[in-house]
Amino acid sequence: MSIRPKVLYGEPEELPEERYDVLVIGGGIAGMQASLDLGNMGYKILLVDKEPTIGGHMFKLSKTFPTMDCASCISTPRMAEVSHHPNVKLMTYSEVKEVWKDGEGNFRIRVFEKPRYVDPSTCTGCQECEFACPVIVSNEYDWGLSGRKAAFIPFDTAVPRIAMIDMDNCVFCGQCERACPADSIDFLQRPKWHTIRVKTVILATGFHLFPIEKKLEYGFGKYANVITSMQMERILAPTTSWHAIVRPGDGKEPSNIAYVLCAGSRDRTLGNPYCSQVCCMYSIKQAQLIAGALPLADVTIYYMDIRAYGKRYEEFFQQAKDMGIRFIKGRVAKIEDMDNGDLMVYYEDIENGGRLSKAQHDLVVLSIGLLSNPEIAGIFKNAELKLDMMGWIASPDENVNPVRTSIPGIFAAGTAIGPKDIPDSVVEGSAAAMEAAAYIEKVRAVKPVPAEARSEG
Amino acid sequence: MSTARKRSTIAEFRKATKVKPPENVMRIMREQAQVRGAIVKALASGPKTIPEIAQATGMPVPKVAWYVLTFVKYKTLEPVEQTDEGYWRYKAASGRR
Repeated sequence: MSIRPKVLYGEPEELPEERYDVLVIGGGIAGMQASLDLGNMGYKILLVDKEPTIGGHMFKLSKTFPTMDCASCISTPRMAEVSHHPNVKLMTYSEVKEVWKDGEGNFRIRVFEKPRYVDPSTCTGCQECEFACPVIVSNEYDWGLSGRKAAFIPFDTAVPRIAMIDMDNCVFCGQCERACPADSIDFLQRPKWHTIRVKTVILATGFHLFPIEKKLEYGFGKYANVITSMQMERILAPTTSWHAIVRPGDGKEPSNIAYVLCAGSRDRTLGNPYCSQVCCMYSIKQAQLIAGALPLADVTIYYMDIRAYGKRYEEFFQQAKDMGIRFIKGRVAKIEDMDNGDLMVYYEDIENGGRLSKAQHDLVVLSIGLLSNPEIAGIFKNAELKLDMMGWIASPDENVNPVRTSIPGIFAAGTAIGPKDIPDSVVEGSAAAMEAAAYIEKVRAVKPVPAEARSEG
Repeated sequence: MSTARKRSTIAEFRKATKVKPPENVMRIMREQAQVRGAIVKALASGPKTIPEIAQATGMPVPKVAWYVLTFVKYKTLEPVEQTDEGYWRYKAASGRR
């Protein structure tokens, strides 16, 4: 999703070295939790996120399960708290490119800050540049459901709420510059290289979504009314850019919606044999939200197993059944479109003798799984970050200390370690913060840190 | 907020980099201007659903749906009412931008 400018003005600027106690990579819910916990303990934190806004995936979601709390109502205040915390410095739209271990309790980091072409100190987030921009491209923050401009603010609740120019799609017309009432547009901005020294690092780099277009039988990308569960999250979210729940194919309110579970999970044909852990429950949550928003709509969930393993998850599942949501045990084999935009779902009906059956729906939601983010291992230049066979960060001590990694002083949290839900990610964020603090104190006790290696303040 | 305009950075940028707008983006932008014009023209005779706009403009229904929902976001269009079949009718927004 990260926007990478191809057109750059001038050479990158090299900035003087800065010192912090902890570097947190990734501003999702786990990274924010770790930053806040450590900041509250008095440590100086640098939180780096490759996206123009912190918040990870959570702020794009509709509600949490099983409590049905508004996801953005929980994550947005947390994002604001991080950005205002006196001990946390935010560096967004920046990528950690290199991590060098220079002895116990000392890491040298190289961070590349991409230019936004907007002055963050004067931009008020008024969106005048966005309204003036003549170019519309697919909005990655809506998973392509709608468009955004080439000059844009990523999200209504973005933190920091600063506009940026997508130079790959800019026609250099200057309309944004003329429209900006604060004179904040700056096409002469250069990228920056930061050198950072820290005592420990927390990796909270999250996950990728399974590219379900690889499952050709399901027709995603080919049939307009086959969407992913993350797209449905955006349709159902209070922060949606759509005005109603409609089909993307023709704007009709759906009345017979199908969910296909394990789309891209537990599927050896796609090289993804594991369970993504959250798909059953977020699908049940979405089905309940649809039942509330569209009371006349039928919702059917096609599943292999329902894995309601967490606290109050089973009750949540039973509640969905009581609300009239239909559960059909059977793997969906293929989906075909019909002339009116409806879809025919072919499935194995396990509870009726395993016969092949088909059913017509007017919208199909593919409950896609989570993939690892193995690129993170490449930033370590003189130490090896070990990953498991599926590319998740491996702990040498998984049962006793799951947030520890193969590199002493480097900790991990959240879905960087493996698929998990929001409460578990928050717990791991706190656990990684505790481990990082203990590591700093242990190094300090064993070998007093020289004055020049201490962070300022 | 400053009262005097600062220098045009886009002019300096263009002069210094000699970079030209990507042809594919220019093509998309021109096409989008046509799509927007065609949709607004189709709505001049009264509010319409997405399939009705598609019929009036000759564009594919999913393409019209994507643009209509995007134009609603940017307040170029606004939804008016829902039909018995579950479609929304749209009109050009008053004071549209």
